Amino acid sequence: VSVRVLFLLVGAVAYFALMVTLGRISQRTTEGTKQSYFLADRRLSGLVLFAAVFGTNMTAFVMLGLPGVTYHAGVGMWAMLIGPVVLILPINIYFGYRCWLVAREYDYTTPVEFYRERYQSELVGLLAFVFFVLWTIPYVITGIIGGGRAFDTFTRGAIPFWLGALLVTLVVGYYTTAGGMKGTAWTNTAQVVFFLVFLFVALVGVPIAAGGLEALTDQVTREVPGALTRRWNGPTGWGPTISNFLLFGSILFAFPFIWIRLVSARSGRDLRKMATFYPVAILLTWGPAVLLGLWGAALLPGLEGTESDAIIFALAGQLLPAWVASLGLIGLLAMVMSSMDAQILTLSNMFTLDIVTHYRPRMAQRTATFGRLFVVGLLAFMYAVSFIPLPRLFDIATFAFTGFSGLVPFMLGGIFWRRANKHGAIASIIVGQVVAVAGFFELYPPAFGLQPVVWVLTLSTITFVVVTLLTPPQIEAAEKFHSVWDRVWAASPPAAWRRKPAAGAAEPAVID
Amino acid sequence: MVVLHFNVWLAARVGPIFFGMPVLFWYHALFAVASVGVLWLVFHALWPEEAQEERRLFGPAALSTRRGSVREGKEEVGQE
Repeated sequence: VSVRVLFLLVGAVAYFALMVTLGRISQRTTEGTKQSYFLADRRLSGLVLFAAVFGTNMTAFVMLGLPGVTYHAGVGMWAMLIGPVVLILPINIYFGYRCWLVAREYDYTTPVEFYRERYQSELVGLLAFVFFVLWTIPYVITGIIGGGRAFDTFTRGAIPFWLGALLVTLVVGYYTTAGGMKGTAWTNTAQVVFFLVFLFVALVGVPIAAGGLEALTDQVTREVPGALTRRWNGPTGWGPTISNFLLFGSILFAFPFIWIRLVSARSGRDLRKMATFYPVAILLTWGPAVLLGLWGAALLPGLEGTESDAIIFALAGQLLPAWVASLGLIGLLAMVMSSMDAQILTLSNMFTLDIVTHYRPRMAQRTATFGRLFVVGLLAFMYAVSFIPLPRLFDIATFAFTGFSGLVPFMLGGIFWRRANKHGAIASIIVGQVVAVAGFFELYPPAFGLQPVVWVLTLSTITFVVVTLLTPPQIEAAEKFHSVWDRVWAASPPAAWRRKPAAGAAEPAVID
Repeated sequence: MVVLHFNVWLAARVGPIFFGMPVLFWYHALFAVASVGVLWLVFHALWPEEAQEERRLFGPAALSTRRGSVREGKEEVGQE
């Protein structure tokens, strides 16, 4: 065993030990109730809340996809994606705040339960459950595959795929079943620290190892001049730009694993702080990833396919000391596992509460037990599936973004539009998902370079509005939810409301 | 800000290069930092003042209208 592999193994063992320890500690403070196990008693706050949401949102895309794309397409990909991600995406947390208010008021736990009650429809709940689960499962499997491949590649086969994937599955399974939401939130905090530290160590170390910043800048200018400007064609053309603006701008709120974390917040103030400072966290994560991808194009030219996806780790392996490569493995595992745990917990949450307990109320007393059993069973199933050759699995996981976007209209309509009803919601979900799946199988040609997400969002929104307007409103269901928002906004109007108080506002503002 | 994100002005410009990155990269890095200020203003305009709202929403008067016993007793209501 080489020194390099030894460093990797020691680092991985230490990292796993920390995750298991955090899971064990959180288990001691987690009770068997659904509030405690699935929502951490709705007490996530400050840095832990931030890390729980941000860590879940940051997937292997940041360590592999983004630098890999930058390696080939240059800085244009950064320019195309960063705008909506830093400016529009945080507004999704504001949507989550509206859900948080109602979820606390009526003790709702999952988005399925929330929208089933909002639309007073079992069918809406079932459809939401099916598609939330359908688009989440590929993500979890790609996490297992990513963990296995990371070990296999980093250790050059010393830890084969099956063992690496098994280790990742077991560790995630342990701290998720043991600590529930609290366990995953605490581990996410450590994981965010790990991947940020690695990115910054690499950011500082690579220019030093490349002969200094000036020499590196000269090399970048000389070797990859085309990567320094933004091109308006190909993957960074107008079509992809508009498509990604819509996709990245709207998608966060539709992820059930993010939604549940938002309603687990202790206070609206914590959510507001997180939403405000989210762009800084994105910048600190995406910025180094893009820099390293571009530098890699100059320092290690000629990489193709998955080789270029691993450009950050190739740089760390070839230019930096062994302990940095070890930190790189930990950073990648941290990014993969911080998303995977939230997704698996959310699947467990929805299955236990929205299917088992909802349809078999007598089992409600044992929700945490069911939740834990479900996590174990699901992970075993997904670990087995990760061995089946699924060439398009990563494509499906990527495309899952588009599938989730088909759920955005009925979700947003449910929290903003009093007139919204179940008929519009059902029609919108069905149309959105049909268009999304048809797009995945390329059953309609791309027009103007626009990706399927544009048609999914457009058609599901139009369907939602038209069908809703043509069918009777659900006044009582809407009032149950809107009365909460009305009360809050009347009691404590935000700045934009203070100039024109709502008619019939119960109390004047007493702020300031 | 939404218009600015499309960066049509600096798309073809390379220099000045700083830290191995063209001006386009730093334009968007600054854009990300500026977004914090813009979001603060947006949320200030749209977001209720939580300190007041939480107390009113989840205080004793609101408990009677709530389903279940989640909030009774053990949770911190309207406290930071």
